[in-house]
Amino acid sequence: MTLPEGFEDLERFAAWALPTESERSEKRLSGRMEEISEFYAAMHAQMGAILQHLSRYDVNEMPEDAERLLYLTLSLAEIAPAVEWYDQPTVIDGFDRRRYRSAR
Amino acid sequence: MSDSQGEEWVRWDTKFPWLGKAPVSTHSYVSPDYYEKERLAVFGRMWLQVGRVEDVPNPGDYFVRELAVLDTSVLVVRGTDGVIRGFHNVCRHKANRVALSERGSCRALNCRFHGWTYGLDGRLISVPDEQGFWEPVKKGERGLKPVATDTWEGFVFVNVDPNPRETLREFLGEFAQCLEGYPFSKLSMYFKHQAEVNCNWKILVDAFQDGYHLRSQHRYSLADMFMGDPRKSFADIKFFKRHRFLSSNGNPAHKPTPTEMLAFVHGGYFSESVFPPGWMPAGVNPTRSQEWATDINVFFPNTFIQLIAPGWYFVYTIWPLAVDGSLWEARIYLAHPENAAQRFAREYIMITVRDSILEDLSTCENVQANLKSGAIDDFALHEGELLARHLLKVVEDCIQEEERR
Repeated sequence: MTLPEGFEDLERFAAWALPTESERSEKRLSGRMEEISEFYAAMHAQMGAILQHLSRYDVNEMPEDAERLLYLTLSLAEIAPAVEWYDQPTVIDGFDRRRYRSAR
Repeated sequence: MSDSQGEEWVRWDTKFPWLGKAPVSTHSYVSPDYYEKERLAVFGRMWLQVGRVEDVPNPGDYFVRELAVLDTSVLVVRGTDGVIRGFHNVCRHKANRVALSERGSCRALNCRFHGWTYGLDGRLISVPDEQGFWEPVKKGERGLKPVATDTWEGFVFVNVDPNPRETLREFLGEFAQCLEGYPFSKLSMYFKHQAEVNCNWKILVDAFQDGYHLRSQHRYSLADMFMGDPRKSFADIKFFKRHRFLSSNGNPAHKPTPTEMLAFVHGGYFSESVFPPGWMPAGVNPTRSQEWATDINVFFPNTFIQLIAPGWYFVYTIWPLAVDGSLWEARIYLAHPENAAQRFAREYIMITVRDSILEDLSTCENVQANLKSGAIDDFALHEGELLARHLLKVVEDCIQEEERR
């Protein structure tokens, strides 16, 4: 994977650059909290710069490297409740996410 | 009465004494006999919300809605004249499904079994090898069977009663005014979520009209966004015959999480371009509360249209599958994102809504499983559960009315 110039240190989170909610959610559910928290911290440290960089593109017509960066921000949205609400990957005492069907 | 700080308050349930105050029986949530009555008296008689006009933008566009509760498949299609019509998705020759996919577009409705073809208005237009029948097929009598279909504010409703007792307009009554003028058509579907949940449909409806469970059920998630008790958090409650309305305040002291803050600052929670100042119709946030957070509009029997300050609306629909099983469907509509920050903000809100709903759905299944045990046979309802009391009353009224017919 390559990300736009200036975001090389996020390359180690390549596995989070996933295009659909289902894939991002599956990645969260099968992840360990330590790696989720590490990704969360790294993304938050750069979100201002990331959104600034991506603001130059139409959200529907991005170059591939920018699109991958966008997917990382969507993965941040996916894991935010795991870190900020539950302190675990799954919803506490929640319904199984895998029984939930998503469609765009 | 007044609380410990000396603030005046009135309990909401005391404003609606006609809903009763006694504990309610759990019978209707578990009884197969009662469920059979509901199928006919409620789902077989009422107007049911099945989609949006934007789901079928052009002539020939169609979608199919499986109404398992009525063992019925409904085909909704836009005609060449622009009119949206509903039909039983049943070929008049040998009863095959005419449309096999959930949605699509076509020039005519063609049954793949023996090739009978219907116009977009349901008329039978061609029968292959017609001379092979004893008598010529009476095409005028063998069109697709219509299902009463009408639209309101861009929402498509069907009624499977061959002779509906009310028009859609009569069915909605004054409730229609709560949402009229809302710019629904400027927002488009962003996400659809579905899940089969092992509980009675009314348990699921209650989960989303319950103002009492927030502080406990959603203690990790939403609780801080709302005020504590219903006397503070409810801005308004209204009942419109079968339908109900709840306007709710947010917590002005809410502390956003870091990601929520990011979404708010960079991503525009709100869509001012779609919702200019003064956008709000009179029926939305009717008390003009400064702390307004959301309006929950509950269309009897099974549809919620929930408005979130401005630029979002959610449609929840709950379809019974059995006395103890339901299909939950959430559709999230919003102004399409123009840039990455907005896309991120929308994703964040969608994920937090999804996770909060996951908190509710597991509880719904636990409740149903416990009701089946028969260990308890009634619920003592809090004022924050007033809407649940109304739902039970309206269902019972429908059954009584059906029995009088």
